[in-house]
Amino acid sequence: MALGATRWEMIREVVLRNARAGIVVAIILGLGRALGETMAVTMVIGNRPEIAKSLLAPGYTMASVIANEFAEATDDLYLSALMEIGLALFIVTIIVNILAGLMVWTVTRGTPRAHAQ
Amino acid sequence: MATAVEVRDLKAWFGKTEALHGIDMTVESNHATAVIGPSGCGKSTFIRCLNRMHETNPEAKATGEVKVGGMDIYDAPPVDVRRKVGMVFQKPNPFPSMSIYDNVAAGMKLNGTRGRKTLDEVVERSLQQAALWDEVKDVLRKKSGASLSGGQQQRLCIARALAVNPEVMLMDEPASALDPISTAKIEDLIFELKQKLTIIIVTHNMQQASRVAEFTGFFLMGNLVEFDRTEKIFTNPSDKRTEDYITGRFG
Amino acid sequence: MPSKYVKLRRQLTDYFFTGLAAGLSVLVVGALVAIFTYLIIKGAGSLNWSFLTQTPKPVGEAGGGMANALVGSVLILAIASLFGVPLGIGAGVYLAEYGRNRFGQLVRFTADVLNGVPSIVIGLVAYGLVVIHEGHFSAFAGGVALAIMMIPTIARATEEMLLLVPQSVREAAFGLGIPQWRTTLSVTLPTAGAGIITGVMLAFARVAGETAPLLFTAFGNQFWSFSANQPIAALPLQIFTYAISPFDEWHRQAWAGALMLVTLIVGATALVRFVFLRRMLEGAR
Repeated sequence: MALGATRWEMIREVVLRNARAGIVVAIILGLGRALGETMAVTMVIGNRPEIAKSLLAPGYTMASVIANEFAEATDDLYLSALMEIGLALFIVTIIVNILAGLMVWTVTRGTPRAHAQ
Repeated sequence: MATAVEVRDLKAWFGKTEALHGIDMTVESNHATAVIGPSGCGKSTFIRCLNRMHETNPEAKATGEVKVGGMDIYDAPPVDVRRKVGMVFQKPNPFPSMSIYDNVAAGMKLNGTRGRKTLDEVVERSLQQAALWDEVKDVLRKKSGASLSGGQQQRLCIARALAVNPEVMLMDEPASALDPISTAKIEDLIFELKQKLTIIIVTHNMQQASRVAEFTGFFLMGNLVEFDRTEKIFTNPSDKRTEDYITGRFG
Repeated sequence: MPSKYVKLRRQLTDYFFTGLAAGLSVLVVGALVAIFTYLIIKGAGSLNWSFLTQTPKPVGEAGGGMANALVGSVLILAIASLFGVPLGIGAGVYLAEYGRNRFGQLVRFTADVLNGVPSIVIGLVAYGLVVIHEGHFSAFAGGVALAIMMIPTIARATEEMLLLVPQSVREAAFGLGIPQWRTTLSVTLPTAGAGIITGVMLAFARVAGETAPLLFTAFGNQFWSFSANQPIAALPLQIFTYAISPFDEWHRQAWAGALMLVTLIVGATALVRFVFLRRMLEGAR
């Protein structure tokens, strides 16, 4: 700002540029978290196992399936099916984290963090 | 005069770079020896080898022989060596999470010494030796180590180092971060401490070296160029490089 | 010289984005305020002494409370903290002091993945590990699930805080002849103390409100239970069950329960802040 830039220009050129990687990582990880959100979604999504055309129609999510149907899973096959949905969610999480990690790595080139001096 | 520290062919590396190229030095006990030289000449690396602090850097290595009071320090566990050879750092570094009392007692407490009375005595004695007792004796446990002024913090660090009763005290530019009054106090301290232990002090301040030390070693680019009595180094040096440094032609 | 037009445009852009940033912040704070206000409006009326001391009544009867859920939550959180805090701090210490290598990177990556795993999947894991093994639901299983969730947060926070401790402090300890492990325990950890406690608090606050992992571990219980080996009620679980039920009476109690849960979490966090952090920050000053 000592060079005469306005506050927004300073933010845009200096702060955001350097924080770019961190911000993208935060977005990716936030998405990952939201993907797995169970309770809040289960309460309002309507729990209808269909693919609806409208965004405003009831639907279902993987996490909600597990939450709702676990109590009814009396035989092993049912249980295994629910476990498999859990596995799918888990794999999605890993992929999201690898993506985020790659982003960070490309920017910092994997330099190990050192103690402060 | 007895020998406190004997160094033979000491070499040190940072990764692949050789920082010290074979140093030989004999340090007399109960005297102060100054180590001078321009920045980057290896003086800090040198004294950090004398208490095996150099190797706390994962990429560092050292070879050669260093004997303190007859004990080969590379033969003994580093922890034992560091209790014999204490160190005071350039920037005062009291433990921020501890009170003044705990700071001074840390060396003893964390090495297993118990007994409130023993600790009390040692703390008072060390703070007296460091000329800090009168200033802090009322707030020993109430104030944290980090709440003192710069000069006081450094004297606290000296007291802390003295509490474990070392034979040799290494000082890495102890006064360079301090104001002139604190510096003078520390120099007075060195005069006092010489009677009980051996002091090796790194300094970039040549006047300080001539005030405080009987012996001086001049380092240049990882080599010990000249080592002699202080008066001789400063008035009639044998090596031209020493003379150039003393007269300010470089460094 | 830039033209007057360019100068004006730069100035306006600046105002626009400043306004935008301020507006978005207000939105975020506003959401929080809205949640709190809504909770108070809908729940405060039902928060009375009988609510806090009674167990749920059968469907159709008015009254009853969530006392057993309160106790259950406390028990589950205690079990979770018992495992999660030491393991988390231990992992953080390893990562900061000993783990600057390949294995450390693997541990760090695993912790980050674990942090992002949906809580219901962790519930499934705890189900497989504990419930199937023991043959029944239990508070212990719930505690295990929550502990798994606490560990990554605490480990990363501990690592970050330890890295902030200057190397000069460690060197001072080494110079006194104090071995590495003792230095970490008695010097480095206390120095990082305030930050680590904050990390633990964050982890605690997060798991205190988790429902999904308790669905098939603690399972819920209509009655009093003080045992770690039986199914047990928990506040978030009870709130969920009541909220999706078709009974108005239960909805009313769900609101009260939600208000109580949020208040307890905020209160516990504030208490820890007050007791610990003030003392530690004072010492450092």
